[in-house]
Amino acid sequence: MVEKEFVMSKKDKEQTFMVIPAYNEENRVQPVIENIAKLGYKMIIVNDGSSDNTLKKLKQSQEKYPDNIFILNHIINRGMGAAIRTGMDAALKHKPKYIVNLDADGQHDIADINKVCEPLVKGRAEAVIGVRPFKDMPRSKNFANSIMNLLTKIFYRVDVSDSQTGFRAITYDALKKIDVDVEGYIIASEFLRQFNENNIKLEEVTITTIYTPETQSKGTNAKVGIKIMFRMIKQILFE
Amino acid sequence: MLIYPIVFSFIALIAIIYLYQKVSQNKSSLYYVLWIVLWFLIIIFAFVPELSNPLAKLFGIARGLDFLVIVAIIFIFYLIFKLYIKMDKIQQDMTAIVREIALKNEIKYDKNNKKE
Repeated sequence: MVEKEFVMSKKDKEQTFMVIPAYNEENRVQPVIENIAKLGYKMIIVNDGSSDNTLKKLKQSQEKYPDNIFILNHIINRGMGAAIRTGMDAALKHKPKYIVNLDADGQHDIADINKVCEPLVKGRAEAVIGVRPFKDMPRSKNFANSIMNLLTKIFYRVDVSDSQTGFRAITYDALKKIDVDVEGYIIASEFLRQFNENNIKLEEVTITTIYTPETQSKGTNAKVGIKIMFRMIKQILFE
Repeated sequence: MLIYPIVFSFIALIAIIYLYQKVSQNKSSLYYVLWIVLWFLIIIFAFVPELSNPLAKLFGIARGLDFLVIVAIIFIFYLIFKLYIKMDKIQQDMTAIVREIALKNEIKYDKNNKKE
């Protein structure tokens, strides 16, 4: 039997909040958030102290969808993790049932929101991560992400097929349970560790990743990877 | 007379004068006093490096000056470590402030302010 593809109902959408961190994304952020707004989702976008016109572009989009787009502004850049935490704190105030977190650079396919929400809506899981198929990645990214998976496995004892994904969905109750207190890209692994420690049921779904030259320049590269590793070691030793 | 004791004590003297001013400004300044003591030690060792020989022997290091250099490097490492910890703390505090400001000042769409 072929199961019909799951689509979020209007009611589900109303109970969902997107959290989108944006840092220097003036050229890419608008289509992403406007397409999400078109689908009827509400979202919190955190401008993480961008040095370009990201904030201006966000305001322009907010003008078009004043009921869907909420903007928060970090006055100086504090990192991906800090932006996500700010966004999630703000989302919690609205008491949504589901919180979805994705990147602002357009590397995620908006249609995948249905996919990552399905296990939450159907009650199969409390947290979902959208995993990128590694075989589709450029080789350097593939290698970097494989290393990060290994590190996450060693230091945090969480074995997932994509530890550094920026696409995740979590229920309100589960988000209340966890306390991620990090600033940078390590937040991806930190979420997994917290899910694990708080016995939050996690499910993986495969997502489409759109790789363009722009989206490739950001994210996990060797420098970020080493930084994450040191942070992990520090956490294991001192916290 | 070698040149380095003069140069060293000159630098040390400037540092001591600077630190002394700091001490006279605020009373609770054990930290500055320790630094003054340290600079005085530097002057003493600069003029009579032989004084470090017995100390070096104690730690099994052949030459007194080697011992001083090793101690200095360890001290510098300690300072760097301390600075790192402090900076880390400041970074975290800064993030907390920035997040707080962001959460308190949600940017709302306001038709009337459109032309701003």
